Amino acid sequence: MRCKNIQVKLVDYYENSLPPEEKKLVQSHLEICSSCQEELQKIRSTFELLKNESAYEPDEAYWINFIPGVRSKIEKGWGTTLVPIPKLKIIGGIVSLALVLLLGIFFFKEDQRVMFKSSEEPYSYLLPAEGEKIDQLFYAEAGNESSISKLFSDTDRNKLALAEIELEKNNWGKGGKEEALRELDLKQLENLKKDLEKTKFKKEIL
Amino acid sequence: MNEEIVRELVRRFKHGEEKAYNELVNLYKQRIFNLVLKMVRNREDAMDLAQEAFVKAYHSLKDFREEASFSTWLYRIAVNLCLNFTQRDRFRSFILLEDLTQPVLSSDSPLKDLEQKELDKAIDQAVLNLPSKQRTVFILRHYQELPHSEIAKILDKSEGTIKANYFQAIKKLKKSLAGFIE
Repeated sequence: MRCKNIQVKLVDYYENSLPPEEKKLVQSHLEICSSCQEELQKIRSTFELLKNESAYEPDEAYWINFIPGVRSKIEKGWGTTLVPIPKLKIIGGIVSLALVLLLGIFFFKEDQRVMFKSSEEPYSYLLPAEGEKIDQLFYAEAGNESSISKLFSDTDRNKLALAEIELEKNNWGKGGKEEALRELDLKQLENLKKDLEKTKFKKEIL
Repeated sequence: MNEEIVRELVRRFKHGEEKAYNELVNLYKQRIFNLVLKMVRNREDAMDLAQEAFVKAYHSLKDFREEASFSTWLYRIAVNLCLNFTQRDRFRSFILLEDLTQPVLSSDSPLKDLEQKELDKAIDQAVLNLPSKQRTVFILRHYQELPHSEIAKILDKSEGTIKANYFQAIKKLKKSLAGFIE
């Protein structure tokens, strides 16, 4: 028998777990092969070394508390996970990813809302604080034409003009245009503002 | 261990006698603790995992069909628990080795203590470095002294595969521990 075939049996030979016939074959080979003898000696030394490993015994308290510990874990529902840990990790990863995506969408929308809000700023004077009269708007339009041109597109300005025409159709009454504007319902101004906002929002999206 | 007594305890537990499970735990706790300790090579973790093995077994015992013996079945649970644990916590096991390898100290020979500590650490590392299958087979065979046929049942492999894994494990340990062999 060749050394290679003998050496795979040396661990079993050392442990005395070979069938009698194989044991005999190994023994005869060992008598004439110094290389395999050396290999067997190394295996023997390795096992001797492993036997010298320190033993560890938990203290008595551990054993006394062993069953109560097991019972306590059973009551707390340990070991009832139906999904193995690696799968839980994958699920956790997917959930995390979904959360990140949802948060991303939320913040994107929030960002758009803020953008939209900030886009309101140029129009903010269109909506006077509660109780104020809308004449401020038209005062601003009349007295600050250049800045309004910058703030509004032609479309927006056309809308303002149309709104003014609408107002004119309503007869100015005794007090004339100025007085009519003072009496103008705030709701109309709010509708105008909403209109403008829609126009502005469409521009942002496009 | 008397297999008939064990089977009877399993039967009693399946019929709702909770106390029977305590007796089963008492019969196997030492063996399972030793197995788990050698598998994870970390005392604190072993103390927890040994209990956890019995918790897992408790939840599954009602479905245990007794195709294998209770000990084979329990070993399988403990081995899988340890393999999952070491796979999950391999890095931590390594960094804790130095702190947790505490051989019994004998004050009259500090040099011997130091040598022992170094040997324990080398064996811990050598065993943990084995591929998981070889490590499991080596531990079941060497420390638990189980026959190849029983290990084959626990790991659901052929006896030939178990023998080959054991041989490879010893070969690697021999190489890893060569520095300690004169």
